[in-house]
Amino acid sequence: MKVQLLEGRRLVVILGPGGVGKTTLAAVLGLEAACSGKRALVLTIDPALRLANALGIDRLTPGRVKALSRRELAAAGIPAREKLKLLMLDTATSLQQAVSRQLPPGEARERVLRHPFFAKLQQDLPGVGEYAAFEEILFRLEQEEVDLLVVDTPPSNHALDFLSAPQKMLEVIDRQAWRWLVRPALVASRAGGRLIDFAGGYLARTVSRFTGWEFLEQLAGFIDLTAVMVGGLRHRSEEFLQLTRSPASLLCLVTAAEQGALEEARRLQRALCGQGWDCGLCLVNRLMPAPQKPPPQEHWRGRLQRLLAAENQGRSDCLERLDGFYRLQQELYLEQQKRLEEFSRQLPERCRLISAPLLDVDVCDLRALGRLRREIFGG
Amino acid sequence: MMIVNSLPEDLLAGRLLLVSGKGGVGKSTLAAALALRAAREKPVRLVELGAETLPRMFGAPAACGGQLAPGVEWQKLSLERALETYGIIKLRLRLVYNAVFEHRLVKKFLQAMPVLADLMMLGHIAYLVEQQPHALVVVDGRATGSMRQMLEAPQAVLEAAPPGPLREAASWIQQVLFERGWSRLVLAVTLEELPVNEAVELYHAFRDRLNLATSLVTVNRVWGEALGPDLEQRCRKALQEAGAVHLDHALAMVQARLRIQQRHLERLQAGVPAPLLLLPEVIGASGQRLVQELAQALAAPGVFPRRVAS
Repeated sequence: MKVQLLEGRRLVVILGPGGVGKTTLAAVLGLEAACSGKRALVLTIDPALRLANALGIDRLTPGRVKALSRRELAAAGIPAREKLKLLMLDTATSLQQAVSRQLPPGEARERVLRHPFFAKLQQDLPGVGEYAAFEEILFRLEQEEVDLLVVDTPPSNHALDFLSAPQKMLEVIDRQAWRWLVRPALVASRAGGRLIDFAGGYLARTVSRFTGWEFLEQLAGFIDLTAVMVGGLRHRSEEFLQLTRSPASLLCLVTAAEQGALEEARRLQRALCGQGWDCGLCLVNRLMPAPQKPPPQEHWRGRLQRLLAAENQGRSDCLERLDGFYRLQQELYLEQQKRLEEFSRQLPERCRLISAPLLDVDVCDLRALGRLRREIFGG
Repeated sequence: MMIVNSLPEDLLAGRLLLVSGKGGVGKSTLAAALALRAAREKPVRLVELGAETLPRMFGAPAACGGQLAPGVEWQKLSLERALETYGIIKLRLRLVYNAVFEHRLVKKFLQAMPVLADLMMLGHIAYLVEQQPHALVVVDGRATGSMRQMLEAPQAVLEAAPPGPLREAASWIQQVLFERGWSRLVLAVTLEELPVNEAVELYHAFRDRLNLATSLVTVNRVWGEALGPDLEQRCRKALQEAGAVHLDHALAMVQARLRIQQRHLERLQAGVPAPLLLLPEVIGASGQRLVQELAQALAAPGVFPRRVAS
């Protein structure tokens, strides 16, 4: 059965615990889109170089779109009807572009971009990566040449951070915290160190015993510079929230069948649900295939013993090891099915559950990705 | 580098054991097992950052702290908690601390500055380490990327913040954690592409940027050894001739994964010059039982996979 999950979508957000193959499946969904004639872009915001890794490409240059042509895809056995584009987010570039879109060219923009805090922001604040990502997503979707954007997010706790980044951003920039803590520092620094606002001054003074006065002063200067951007930020944040909650977006929860991963996936799904997001799809990755039923012993065992003895010149533990492999497969399979059953019972009905099998090769090139796509979606 | 059969001798001799690795490789379970193993020798403070998953692994209810096993004290380290310790030391007066740091606006401010939050958390760890010379603090660290960000927070502050209390704090933390030889780093991996890549990356990042060498890499969930290619081929031929289709299928499936595991083990050995300890896949155990089994495997790895009778 061909799964029509991507029909009518513009954005797929991949969420899930760490280590379950999110990036791999993001790439697979991108391939599926390309095979059904959509112009897709897979965007990864994970700082690790996984997308390139998963695709078996040497490198992706951060911030630069790489396109895989239909011919390249066909050479790996993938019947694509469109090319597939890939992009690894470069926080610094996205952020600079975002600021540049918000602030007209001129002295103010230059001062923001050159402020020492701006450079630090990009490197050290996790929230900033997420902000840069949603700016990038909106920007790419506004471009004509993308039908579907598949976004690969960092592991679960961060995934929630990712979706709620706009909201937090709004809270932070709106908050009077800045005004109360930081304004007095600014005012004081302009008035030559004298504090004018009494109430805010008290808080700021105490916090400064802790952070140092200069730090607050620098921060205040930066906040002041960026204050003009607040309106634009608010607008973009709301736009992003609306998009992720609309039917044009598919939130795809990815997990593996191990206990820890399933538990985390369940927690994540509930948290998302509680905050107004709907997971339309859950993909369980790397399922161990069912062991085959043994034929009656008398048909094969004696014969096998003789054959193995002849082949291996008397080494006797061979059959034992083979039995061991079968037992291992059985055990792993049974444990997995029990866990899966419980997991799927607790999923909401509107969340569709599909699975991807464990392949007998490591999925780290285009050919293997293509195989995985066929196993999941058929065709 | 070399595969070892037991924990390196001086691993538990330090004051701080940091456990990290890619998400999903069994970091927390390993931290718990290491804590259990170390508790045979000295008191252990098991610290969890933000989450509350460890008590369940010891079969205890989640609370804000307490004893999880003989000699293992657990605590959850939150930003609030870290701030409190640090803030009170700095400001000396609890009253002032409460008035200011319990203030809604100040809390918002700190949450919006993750570098400061990371610095405070590390500050708390450094404080625990300095205060308890005879104990071992085991930190169930975050996943690679964010662990790195956290451990590099003091450096980030030293580079960016103007002189003042923040810099002093950062330089004290830097000293306690990285310059006195008290810390050991353990990386957990499973034999898969991405966990191995991240371990290699992290190993070099910590060594080069923090001067912190990885003391041990634990390789979790090892199934066992693959059959050699010759033997495999002979076996498959025999299986097909004898009509043992189920064994043939199982052999193909399991061998394929074992060969992949083997390849990743070789990559790991080439990329990370630290002792590697192989730990078995444990079948039939989860939670508390799994932690106990792994603690035993840390002392003597035993058979692969390890089976637990239910």
